[in-house]
Amino acid sequence: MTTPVLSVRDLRVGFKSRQGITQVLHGVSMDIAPGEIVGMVGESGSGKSTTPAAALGLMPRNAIVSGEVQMAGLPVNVARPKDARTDTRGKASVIFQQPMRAFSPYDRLERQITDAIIAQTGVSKKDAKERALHGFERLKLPDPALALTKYPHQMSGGQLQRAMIALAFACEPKLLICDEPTTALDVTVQAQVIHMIRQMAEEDNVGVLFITHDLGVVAEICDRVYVMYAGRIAEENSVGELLGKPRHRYSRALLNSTPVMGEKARFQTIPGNAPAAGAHIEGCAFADRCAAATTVCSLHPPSKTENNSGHFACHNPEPVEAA
Amino acid sequence: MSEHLLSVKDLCKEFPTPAGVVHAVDHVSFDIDRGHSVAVVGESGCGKTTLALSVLQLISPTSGSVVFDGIDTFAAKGRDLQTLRQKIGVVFQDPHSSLNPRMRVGDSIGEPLRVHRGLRGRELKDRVAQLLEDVGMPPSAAERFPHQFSGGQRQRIAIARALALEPELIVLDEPTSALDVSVQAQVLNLLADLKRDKGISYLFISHSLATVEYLADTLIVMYLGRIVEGGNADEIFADPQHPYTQMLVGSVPQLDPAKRGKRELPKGDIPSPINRPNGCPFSTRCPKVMDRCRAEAPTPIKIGDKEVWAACFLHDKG
Amino acid sequence: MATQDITPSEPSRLATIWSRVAGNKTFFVGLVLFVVILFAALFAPLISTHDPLKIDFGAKLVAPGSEHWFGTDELGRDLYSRVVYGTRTSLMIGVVVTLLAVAIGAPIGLIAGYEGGRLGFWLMRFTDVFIAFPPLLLPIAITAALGQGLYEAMLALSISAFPWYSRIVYSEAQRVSKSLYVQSARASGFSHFRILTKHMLPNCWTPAITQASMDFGYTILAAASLSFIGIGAKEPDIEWGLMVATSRTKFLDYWWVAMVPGLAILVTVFALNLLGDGVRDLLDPKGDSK
Repeated sequence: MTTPVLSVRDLRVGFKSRQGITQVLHGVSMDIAPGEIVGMVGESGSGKSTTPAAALGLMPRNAIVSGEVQMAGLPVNVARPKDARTDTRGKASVIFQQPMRAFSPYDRLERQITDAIIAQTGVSKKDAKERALHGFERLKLPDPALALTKYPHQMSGGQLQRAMIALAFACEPKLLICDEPTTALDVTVQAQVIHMIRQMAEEDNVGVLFITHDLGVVAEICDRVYVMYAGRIAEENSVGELLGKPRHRYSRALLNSTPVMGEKARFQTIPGNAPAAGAHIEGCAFADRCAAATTVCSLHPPSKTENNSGHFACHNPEPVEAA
Repeated sequence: MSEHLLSVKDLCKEFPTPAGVVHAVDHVSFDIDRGHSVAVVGESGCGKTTLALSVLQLISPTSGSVVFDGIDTFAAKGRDLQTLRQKIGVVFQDPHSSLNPRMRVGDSIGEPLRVHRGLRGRELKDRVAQLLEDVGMPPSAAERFPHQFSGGQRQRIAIARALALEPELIVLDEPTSALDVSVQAQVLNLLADLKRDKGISYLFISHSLATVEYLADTLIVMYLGRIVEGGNADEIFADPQHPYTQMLVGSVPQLDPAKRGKRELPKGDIPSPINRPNGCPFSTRCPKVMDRCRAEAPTPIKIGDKEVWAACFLHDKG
Repeated sequence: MATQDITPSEPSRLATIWSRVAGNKTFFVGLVLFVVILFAALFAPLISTHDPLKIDFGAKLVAPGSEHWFGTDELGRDLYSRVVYGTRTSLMIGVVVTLLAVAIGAPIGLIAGYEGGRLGFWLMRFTDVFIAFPPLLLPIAITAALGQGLYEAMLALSISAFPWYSRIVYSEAQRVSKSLYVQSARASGFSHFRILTKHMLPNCWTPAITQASMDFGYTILAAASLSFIGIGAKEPDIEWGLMVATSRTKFLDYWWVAMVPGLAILVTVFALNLLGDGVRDLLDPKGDSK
C-alpha cells in the first residue's frame, strides 16, 4: 500500500468572530494516492476550497483548525497555519481559478516563475530557468522561449493558465491542488487544459486534488470523487460508480441539475438553499431539502456506510437497481 | 405587425485600438421571430457580448442595421426610442453588480413601471409583488437590499425587473454562468417556463452549449466576430456542419467516464481579435483546412435541405 | 414554483453602526470632544461668563483666575467667553465651506465620470485649473477683489477645496458608470437625471463623505491661518485665529492671550480629525459601501 500524498482525518475548521465561532468544516477525511486524480465536488459554501487550504496552512488568523493531516507520510500541523506552511513547503503546488490574478502584472513571466520555483525548491537560478522553459515546452505553449519573456497581459487566459500549470509542475510537487482551474476558461481551452493536467500528473506520478462544481469535468479527468455538502463529505467513490450509481440523495440531485448535451427535459431542481455557514444542524445537513427525507434524517447525523469502492453518509440512500 | 420581431442585417462593429482594429462583430445577420429563442454561442473574442450590447443600443454599430418590430433602432429618436426600450428587457451575467446596491429590490424592479407607466403606491406595490412571485421569490423580498440575497436569487430579481414592462424580447448575456449548477438549473427552468407561459422571445448569449440547447430554437455560432454556423438548434446539435461547431460540441465534458479520451482535442489557441487570420478566421486551427480557406473568407451557405447555414468551403462546391 | 427562502433580516442599521462606534476608541474620543464643542456653540450665551465683545480697559491682560477663567486679552475682553463664542464661528466655517465645496465639486465629478468623452475631459481640466492655484493665493486674490471678511474667506476656501471632491467623485463615477446596473438603467431608457441621482450618486458619495469629514478639521485650521495673516475674519468677528493674531505682540509676557485660542484650535481640529478617521473607518472597510 503506497503512502498517500495527502491523508486527512477528521479535519474541522471554524472561524472566530465577535458573534462566536462559525464552523465551516465538520470532520472531513480523505486520501489521495500518488498519480491519482481525486475530484472534490460541491457548490458555494460546501467547503471544497477550505479543505485543501486548511491542510496547507493557508487560513486567516481567526481560523480554528483541528484534525490530522499527513503529506507524503509526514505530519502537518494544521492547528498552527505557520507550521503547516513550513511542513508543506516544496511538497504541494496550487493552481487557482483566475490565472490573470495569480500573476503580478509588473514582472515578466520568466522572473515570476523562476522566483517561485526557487522559493519552493531552493534550486539554483540556472536550474529554475531550465525548469521553466521545460515546463512551457511540456504545456505546448507556442514559442516557449519567447513566451517566457512576456508580461501576463500579453497572454490569453488559456495560455496563462498553462503557464501556471507549468509553474506548478516545475516545482516537482508530490501533490497538486487545482481550485476550479477551468471555470473561467473557454470550453475548448478547458478541454485542452484538463487533458494536460491529467497527462502530466500521470507522467510525474503527482497526486491531484481537483476542485470543481462541474460534474462533466470530473467525469473527464478524475479517478475518484468526493461530494461535499455543507462542510461534510456526502459521498465518495470511483468516478464511474458515483456518476452511474450515486447513493447519496444530494449526489443524485446534483447529477439531475447538470445540463447534458442531447437532453432537453426539464431539470429536477433542489428546493431551498444550502444551510448558512456555521448553522447548527441536528441531523443530516441535506434533510430539509431532500425529497426522500425520513424522520430519522432530521434527528441523527448519518453515519458512514461502506459501498464497494467508496462510502456515503445517508439514512435513506438511492436504491441500487437489481443487477 | 412586421414579419420578424428582431431583424439584424449585416451588423458590423469595429473598435480602433492602438494595436490595430478589432472587428468585434463582422457582417452578422439573423432574425428572431415572436416567441422564438435565438442563442448565440462562442468563445472569448467572438463578439457575442458586443452583439448583445449593439442590439440593446448600448453600443452604436459601425454599420448595418437592427430593426425591432419595424423600427430601425439606430435611427430611432425620442418617442420611438422610448417605445423600443420598453419592449426589450435585459439580464446580465454578473448577479453581483447588475442590481443597484443602494436601492431596495422592490424599487429596482418597480423603477421601469414608475418611469414608463406612471405606476405609484398600492398599484406599483402589487405589480412588483406579482413579478416577484412570477420568478419564485416571496413578496417580502421587495423590502430588502441586493446584498442580502444569494447569486441565484439576485438573478431571479434581475429577471423580474426585465419582465416588468412585459417586453417582447429579453436579451440575456450569460445569465447563469456565475451560478452554482443547482441554482443554474432553477433559473433555466424559470426561463423555460416564462418563455412558454408568456411567449417572450430570448436572445440568449452563452459559452455553455448544454444550457443553450435547453432553451434555444435557433442557434448561432460565432468565431472572431463572424457567424460560422446558424440555424435550427436541434439540427445543429444533432449534426454540426462547421468544423468549429464540431470542435465546440466535442469539447463539452461528458458525464460518462468510459467515453474519456475518445474525442479529438481542440488544436491551438484562439487567435487575438486584433490579428485575425486571413481568409477563414478558423483556418489556423481547423483540422480540415484547405488552401482555399487561407485565401478567401467563406460566406454562409444553406446545407442541403436542413434549416442550417454554415460558412465553410467544405460545403461549398463552387 | 417553489418559493425561495430568503435570509432573515439583518440587525437594524442603527444597531450595527452603534456597535462599531462603541468599538472604535479613537472615534469615541473624537465624538465626545465634538459633542462638547457643539454644546458650547449651541449654548454659548448660557455657559459664557461675560459678554465676549465687552471691552474693559480696566481689566486688560489679567491672568487666568477666578474672575476670568482664561484671563483677558489686550482690550480686557474675557477670553473664556470669546473661546466659547468662537466655537460658533469655527463650526460655521467648517460646515459651510465643506458643504459648498462638495456641492460644487461632486456634481462636476459625477457628470464628468458619467458622460466621459469631451465633456468629461474639459470638466476635469476646468477643475485642474483650480488645483493649480497655491492654496494661499486664491484667498488673497479674492480678498483683494472683494474685500476682507469672513464670508469672503469662506468663499475662497470653498473654491480651493472643491476640485478635490471633483476628483474623488470622478474616479468613483467612472467605475460606477461602467457597472451593470447603470447599463441596465440606460437600456431601460431612464433619463440621465434619474440615472445620475438615483444610480450614480448614492454609489459615488461615500469617499466624498469620508473626505469631507476629514476636511472639516483642516478647514477650521485653514480659516484660522488666514485670519492670522490678516485675510478673512476681522474685528469684531470672534475667531480664534484672529485672536492669536491680535495677541502677537503681547504673548511673550502674557502667555494666555495666544495660548488659549491656540489650544482651542488645537483641541477642535484634533477632535474633528479623530471624528473624520472614525467616519472613514465606519464607511470604508467593507461595511455597506460597494
